[in-house]
Amino acid sequence: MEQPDAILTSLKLLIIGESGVGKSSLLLRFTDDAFDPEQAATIGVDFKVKTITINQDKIKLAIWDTAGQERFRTLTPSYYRGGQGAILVYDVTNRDTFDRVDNWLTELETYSTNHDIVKMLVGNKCDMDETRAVSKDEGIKLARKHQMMFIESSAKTKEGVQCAFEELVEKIIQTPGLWEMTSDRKRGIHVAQGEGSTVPGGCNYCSVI
Amino acid sequence: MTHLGPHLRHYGPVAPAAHPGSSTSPIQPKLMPPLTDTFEIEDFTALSDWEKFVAGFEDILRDWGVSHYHPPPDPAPTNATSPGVPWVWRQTRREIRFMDCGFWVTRFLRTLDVADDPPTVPPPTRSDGSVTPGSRACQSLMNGENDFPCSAHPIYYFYGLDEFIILSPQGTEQVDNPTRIKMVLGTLSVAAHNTECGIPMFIQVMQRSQAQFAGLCVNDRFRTMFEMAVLPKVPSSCRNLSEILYVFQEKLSQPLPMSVRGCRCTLRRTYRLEDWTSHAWTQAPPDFELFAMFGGQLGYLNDLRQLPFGAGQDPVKRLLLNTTWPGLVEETVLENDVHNDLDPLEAPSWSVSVQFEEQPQCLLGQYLRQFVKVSENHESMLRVLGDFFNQSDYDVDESVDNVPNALKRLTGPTYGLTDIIKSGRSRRNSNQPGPIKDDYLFKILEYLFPDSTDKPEFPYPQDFGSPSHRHNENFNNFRVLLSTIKSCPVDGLLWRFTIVAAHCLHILGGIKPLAHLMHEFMLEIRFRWENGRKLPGLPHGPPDHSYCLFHQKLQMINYCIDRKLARESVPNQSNEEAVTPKNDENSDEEFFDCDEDEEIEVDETKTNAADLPIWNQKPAGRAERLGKTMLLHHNDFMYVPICQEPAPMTDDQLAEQAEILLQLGSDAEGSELRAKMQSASLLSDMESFKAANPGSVLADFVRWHSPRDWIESQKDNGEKGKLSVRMMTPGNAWAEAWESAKPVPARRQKRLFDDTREAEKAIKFLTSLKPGEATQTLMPTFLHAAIHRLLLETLDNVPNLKDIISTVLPVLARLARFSCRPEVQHYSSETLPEFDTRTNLVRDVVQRLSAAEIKLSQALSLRAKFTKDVNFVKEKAQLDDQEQVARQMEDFVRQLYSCPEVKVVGASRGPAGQLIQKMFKEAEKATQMITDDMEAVTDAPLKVFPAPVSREYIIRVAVPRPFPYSAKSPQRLYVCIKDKEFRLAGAFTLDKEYL
Repeated sequence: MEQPDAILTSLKLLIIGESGVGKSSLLLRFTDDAFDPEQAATIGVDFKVKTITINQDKIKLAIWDTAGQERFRTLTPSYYRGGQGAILVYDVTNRDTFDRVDNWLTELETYSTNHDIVKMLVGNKCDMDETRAVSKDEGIKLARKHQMMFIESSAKTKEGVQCAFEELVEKIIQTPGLWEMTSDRKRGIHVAQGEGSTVPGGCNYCSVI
Repeated sequence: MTHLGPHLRHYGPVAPAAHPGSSTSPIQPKLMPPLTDTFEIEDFTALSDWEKFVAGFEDILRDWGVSHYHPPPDPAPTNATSPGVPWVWRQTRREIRFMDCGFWVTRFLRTLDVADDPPTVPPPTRSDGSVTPGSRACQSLMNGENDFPCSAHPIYYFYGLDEFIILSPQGTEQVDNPTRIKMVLGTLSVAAHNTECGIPMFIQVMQRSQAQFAGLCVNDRFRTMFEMAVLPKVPSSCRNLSEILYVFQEKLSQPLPMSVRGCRCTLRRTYRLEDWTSHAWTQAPPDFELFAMFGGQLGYLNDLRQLPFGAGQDPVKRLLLNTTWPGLVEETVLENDVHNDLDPLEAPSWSVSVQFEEQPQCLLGQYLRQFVKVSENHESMLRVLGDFFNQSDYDVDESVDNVPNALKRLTGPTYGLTDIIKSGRSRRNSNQPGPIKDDYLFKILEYLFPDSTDKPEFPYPQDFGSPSHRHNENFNNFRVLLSTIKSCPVDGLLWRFTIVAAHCLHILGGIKPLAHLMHEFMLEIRFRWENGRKLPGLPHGPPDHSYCLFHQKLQMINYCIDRKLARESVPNQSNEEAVTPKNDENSDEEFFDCDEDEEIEVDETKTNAADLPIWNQKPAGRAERLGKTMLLHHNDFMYVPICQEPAPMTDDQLAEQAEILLQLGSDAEGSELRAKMQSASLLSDMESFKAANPGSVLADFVRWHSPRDWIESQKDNGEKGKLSVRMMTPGNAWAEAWESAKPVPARRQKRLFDDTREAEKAIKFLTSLKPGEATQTLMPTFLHAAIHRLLLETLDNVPNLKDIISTVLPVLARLARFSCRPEVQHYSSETLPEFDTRTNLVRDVVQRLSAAEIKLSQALSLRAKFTKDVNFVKEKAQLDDQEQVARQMEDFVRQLYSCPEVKVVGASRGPAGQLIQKMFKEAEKATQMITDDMEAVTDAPLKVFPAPVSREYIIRVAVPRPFPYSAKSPQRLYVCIKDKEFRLAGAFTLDKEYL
């Protein structure tokens, strides 16, 4: 475990998009620098943790990976809350996954609790140029329309993956009010534990305003 | 003891060839520079305390660059009250000591507000005798434009001076005896001469609160002495204008007798209005409609539907009317013992100012503070209600595990509100009256659960939750922000409950009635759950996470009731499955058009069906056909099964779930476990699919559930396609789940969502809240309601209100984010601050909202006073255009609110003047207890105004003093006569030339 005072803040990122566009692969490439062509289809939600350094500040990322299948859509949005950044992934070789980005944006709008959540559009599988169905320009255009960041990436060849995450985090850090320093970094503030624990079931909500 | 440094004088061309050590130097400070060159040594040593004091004072003057400085007359003196002129006062302050006693030296300068320039010190004008006699001070004394400025420094008010220096003792020290006054005055005099500073200088004497000063101003030609006297009573020689003029002339006749003619007099009478009678504004008018409906039963709860707003006492404390006669020649006005020319109605200039109550008791503010106070209470429900409910066998632990029983024992058999209303029974067994009287309670519950009666008085709005048409644009401005604070839909069940709870807290006497209300509320909810009656006033569907936890729990209960009702309404299962098979071999098209029919049965006597095991031959739980897609290995269409919906969760459950997922760790193993944990609904979908599609394989399921994992074959070799690599990987979670899935339709599967358990959990959560905790969970809704109330009253001319609300809402949004605690702690930076921090945030919000209420009340009160009587004003002021009058009055109110003093256009004859007369007249009638009838019969016309609270006089004249051949110099006397204070402030000037 890192020294708590070394962490500037921890952020919650989301990865969303249609099934099979390579969300889990992107995450695996970013966290473990690995690629698994047999990467299992995600069931519900999964997550990984990684600490990165931006401008000498250590930032802890909890990245929530979601299943893209329609039937999971009643389940996954619950975990959007509190996310400060979202990566919307489509597959550049599959037009349909690009056309549905709009739906994902609406979903994010509906379920995200941060209204100024930073969004990054990622066109994945850009190594497969021979079967490309969505041009880079189209991606850029869509990103501009919805005020998103944009990059094309390939989890297989590493291209753009690291960059996508880092740029997103940097943008979040630049957005005031979206994040707060971990309490360890703030002097004089101590997180009270077990408060309101008189409520049965171990939930601590009743005392929370 | 030698003193170097600051006491060396550095001015002048002569280098100080000082020998500070020479102890024989004269100790008298020099009044004038040396006249001759006979002194070889200039001695600037300062030895005595007084010398040091004078030297220190002079140093300050030099530091400020005002030595050799005679402020020139202002080429264009400007009226202080003329609107739009950005005049400001600039102050610079230094400290100086006289022995143990500290003094402040403060320089005041009234100047145009020009950007960020530092106080402008004009370049020192070396006085060579050619400047003056018209110094700035002399000009100010005689300038009648700035008479009676509002909220100004006393010196400016008494003398009209706009640049001066004041020496005032620090702390509790006072310069309060003639000797000391003379000595300090001497200091000023010496310093003024030594530095040739022409700025008027004052010392503050006597008690600070008296604002009493003495001072002088010296320039090359004149010497002005400022004298002031403050007495507790009017001396018999100064009771009116004639007497004051006499005193003034007497004073000018010293040292040499002279005759004074042509004095100019500016007079002011100030009247105070404190009794507003019919113009009083105490609080927003009660809703009489509601009042009538509740009749006497709810008496003082005149409107349950809103939080209260407004001040209990009129926030406008008093109005001061100043009637002014500027610049009269002394001969044209007469005021003496027997005659008085000064009728306020005839005064050429009227102005008014209002004073607000400093801490008016505002209703919403009181509600807010009380709510916060109770939220910090930690007493349990039992403790709060202890003496009301007689339950010696009440066991806390048991109550947690077995709430229904405990409650039953607590209150006897539970009845629904409907039963109670119909039978008029009480829900309680106890004879003891509850904290809330029964009839109040029923009205409240009827309001919260309007569906209990046949003809509800206040049904819930159809469209609540969505932005209502009732909302004005103020709401639209804040709509987005309001949606971030996690409260509940406006005028929904929880909204009403929160407001009623606030009323209970405040009107019915604190935490006990609140606890009682909570208790009854929960009894009703339990009753409804047990009897399958839905809760009213909640949006449809599972818990909405954009609302507060309390609301989510209510929604959860409602959702459970829904599910329970749906479950119970399903017809007998055996019937359903025994539907006669149809023969649709040839005509499947029209048959499958009817999508709504969930129980389509297909003739499945097709060739492959018989190959299936007997228990999986009949399809079950089909929702609809998936187009024309055929199963891969079975001769049938593919059907979308009826599936179980995943279990909805409230914030806390979700956070718990997230916590569990997080605890599994970030590695591959963790991922696998997470997938297993969450595969219940996948498995359920697979079983439903198998049941609906006998003979189906995993590839079929994938084609429906995750179509992109099925790769259509491009070749024409009869093979339709194949599964994606990840689905074919041996041992992958999907394949494993498919293996273990049995063909079971959703309705016969183990329930993913146990409505009974979830409802009990939600009810238990709510019933186990302590009253204080309940108020905490209600806080966002309560604050939302308070903001809502303020926005209902918002006026455009209350400048700060929108700012206040704009600052408050993000704070509330932040508080709202804290409410998802464990989740937040783990994967977001927003760790939960300490309870105190949150409480402070809430207190801060409450304080801001209270301030907003006070501001709003003040503005509304003024408006009520001055803009309601447009017709009266129109008639009296003989104006034709009603709209114009209304506009004028609105303008007047706006000024009253934002400016310290407002000129009344047209004085007594203008529209505002007429209204003010009416107010004074009514107040006068009220004090003398005269009714309208009496007024009609009395002969003597009723006085409009009471005795003035203050009479002020400014007498000015320019005469040659002391000799007839001296230059004319300004003489001025200010007199103020109040009930308990009499003040004379004179400025008398002498020509120094021939002295």
